Amino acid sequence: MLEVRDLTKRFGGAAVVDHVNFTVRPGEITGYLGPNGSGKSTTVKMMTGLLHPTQGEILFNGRNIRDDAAGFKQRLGYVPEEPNLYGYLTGLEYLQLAGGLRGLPGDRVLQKANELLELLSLSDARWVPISAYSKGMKQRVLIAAALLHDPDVLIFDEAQSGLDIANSLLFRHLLRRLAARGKVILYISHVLELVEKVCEHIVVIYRGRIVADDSVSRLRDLMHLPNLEEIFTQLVEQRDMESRAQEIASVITW
Amino acid sequence: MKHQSPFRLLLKLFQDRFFESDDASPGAGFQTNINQVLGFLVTSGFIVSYMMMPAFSHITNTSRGRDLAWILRGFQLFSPAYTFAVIGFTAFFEWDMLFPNRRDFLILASFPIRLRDVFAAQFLALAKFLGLLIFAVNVFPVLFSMLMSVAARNRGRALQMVLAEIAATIGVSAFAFIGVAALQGLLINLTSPRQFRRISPYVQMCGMSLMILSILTYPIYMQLLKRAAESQQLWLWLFPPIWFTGLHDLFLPDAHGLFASLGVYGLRMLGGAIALVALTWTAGFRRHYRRTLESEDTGPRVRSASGANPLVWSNEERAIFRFSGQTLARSRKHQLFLVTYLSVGIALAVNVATDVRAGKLLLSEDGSRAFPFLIAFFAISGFRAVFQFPAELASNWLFRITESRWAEISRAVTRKRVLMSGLLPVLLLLLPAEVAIWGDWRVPLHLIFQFSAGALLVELIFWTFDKVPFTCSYFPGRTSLSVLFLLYFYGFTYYSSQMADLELAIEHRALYGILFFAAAAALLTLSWRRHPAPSAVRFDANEPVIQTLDLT
Repeated sequence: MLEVRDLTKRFGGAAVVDHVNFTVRPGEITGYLGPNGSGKSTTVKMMTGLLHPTQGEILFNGRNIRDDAAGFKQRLGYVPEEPNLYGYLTGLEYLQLAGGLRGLPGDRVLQKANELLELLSLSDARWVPISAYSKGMKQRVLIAAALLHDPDVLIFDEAQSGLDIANSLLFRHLLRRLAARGKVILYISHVLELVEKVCEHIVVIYRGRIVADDSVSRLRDLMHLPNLEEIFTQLVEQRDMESRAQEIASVITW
Repeated sequence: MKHQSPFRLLLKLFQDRFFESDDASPGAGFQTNINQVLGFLVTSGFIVSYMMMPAFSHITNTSRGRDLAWILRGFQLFSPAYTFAVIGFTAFFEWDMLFPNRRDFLILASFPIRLRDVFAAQFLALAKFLGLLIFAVNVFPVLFSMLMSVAARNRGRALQMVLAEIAATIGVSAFAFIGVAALQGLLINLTSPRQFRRISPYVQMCGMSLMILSILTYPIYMQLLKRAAESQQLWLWLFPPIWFTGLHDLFLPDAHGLFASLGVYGLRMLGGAIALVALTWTAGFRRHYRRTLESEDTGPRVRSASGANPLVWSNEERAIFRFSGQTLARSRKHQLFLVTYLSVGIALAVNVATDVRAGKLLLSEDGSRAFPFLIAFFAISGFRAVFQFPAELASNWLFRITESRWAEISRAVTRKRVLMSGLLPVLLLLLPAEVAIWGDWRVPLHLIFQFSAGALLVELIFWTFDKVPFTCSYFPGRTSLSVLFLLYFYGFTYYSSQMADLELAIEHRALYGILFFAAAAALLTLSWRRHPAPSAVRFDANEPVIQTLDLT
């Protein structure tokens, strides 16, 4: 179980993440939602150790992840929001690098990396530098690198971004399969339909604060709204999108 | 808002590319960057000219007659040689920016722009860039040459001398830049886009290296000039700065026949380069555009060695060792930096290893002994410097997220990488020269001695290095550059001269050899077994502590 307790991050005095609390349980997929700039990525960066919190703590199985950062990282798989990869490495070389840095034996890494690349339809491109990959291909390399060491905790930050329909479907099934194996999964996405379909539990952050933390069905009942899209719109005070679209259409008319 | 024509926008786009800089503040435009680059070039020209003054003053006060005339010719050669090297280096450095590339074509293809406008805008941007470069590089060297000529010769011919100097520097500058553009035009016509992409880094590296060598070996060839002219040596016809120095002989009455011919030859070669650029680019631009857009987006397939490596002892070590090797083999910016650094070392070592006596180039015994140590010093310190530059900073999250306090592992890998990719190849490349010079039992002795001394130097230079190569997120800008320069300058001269002396001593007395190798083995073993307290790898500089005033 991954617990975020009173997590706060300030940049120059302004709180980007403000006393955030939520729990990600094993065996269920937790969706983490929020508009752009709400603090999602900052929270995730603190959970992966890329940023230090100003205040608060993150507990994994009851233990602060900073007490044994290396041990936690060994059990963590992460797909970042931006597909930042070493472009001059090939897909296979990148997976070998990721496996090696986690201390996994080279021959096993090679075998598993090849299997993953095959299953993710990347085997033809395994010797091509990543700089020549499409966004979807890069994303699949990142997913493969995150799963390579069979981690207990998985954080997917917009992991389906750029994937085609077939791979998106594959990813959705994969999420369910991983959850069924008892993994702790945090899933960040802007695609509300997808979140609604795969996540049992959602956490919504807005302007650095948690505004909802419950199951989708309970939120629907509590707020008397039919779907996640409307729940989200109401929670984060989004302006009426239909009228805004109308305004844009008017502006571009010459 | 002022309307800009598409042609002007294209012109701005292409001229901005020459001064693209990651260091510039966000939003800094062409003017900001151009001022920085030009300021740097003008200052360099001033410093170099200023440093030449005392040598010139000494020579004009102590030499007379025909000797002085040849010395002056040697000094006149400086300005064309300097500008040739700087502009040629810049042109090779900006190789990818000389003409639009695939990215430009992909972006511009969707806009209603005529191809001829793209071509014309690029040409105009090139011409503007060249003009600015010529001015910035030459303003002080030309002034210096004018003062020098006027002070040493007939003051009545001052105007002619100034014109000759300006013609020589503009001529050689234009030749250097247009020559590189012509070479690129030729390659684009003769190769496929994929072949062109593949050979470009090698052309760049060779070109930049030759340009550095051409200026830093100036002290040697300026002394060879008189004898070379007397015996009509071939190299005079192969080195562009010499051709354009001949323009002085076309402008002034007391012309030297050979140099006047070289001046005419230089002008012909410049004309040839201009014709070649025009021909290759007008003929090939449309085809280049089409072929570039049609070429596959994928890069060439690469294969890397994945067999067992006895040098690395753990999976983490293997990963970092491979990563550093792959980065060195494929990252062009790191290769260019390393080549530039090594070229400076080679040029300095050539100066040390050679001697000019009576117009003849001779090998200095002491200098040639110091040569491998100098090159090794530059190779090792070059690796130290290049490891500090991140390959792709945004991608270092992988190391940060997997890091498990393996600074010690990283340190060991770094040392092995420098020994295997830096020191050993350098010594093996120098081996044929060693065989040619010494040719007996001293060759293996030298090789072992040079490797041992280099290994000790690696330990010294990398003693505090606690980073994963190419992942460090801050540049080595915190150390005082002047202190660093002094350290390195005295470091390499002291190291190379002391090691050369020690090598000679070992040749004469076996006991010294036994003592050295025993001490080196002990020190290396101690150093390799050093296990400081486990620490995490450093990726960032320490964040500055901000003291708030708490005024509210």
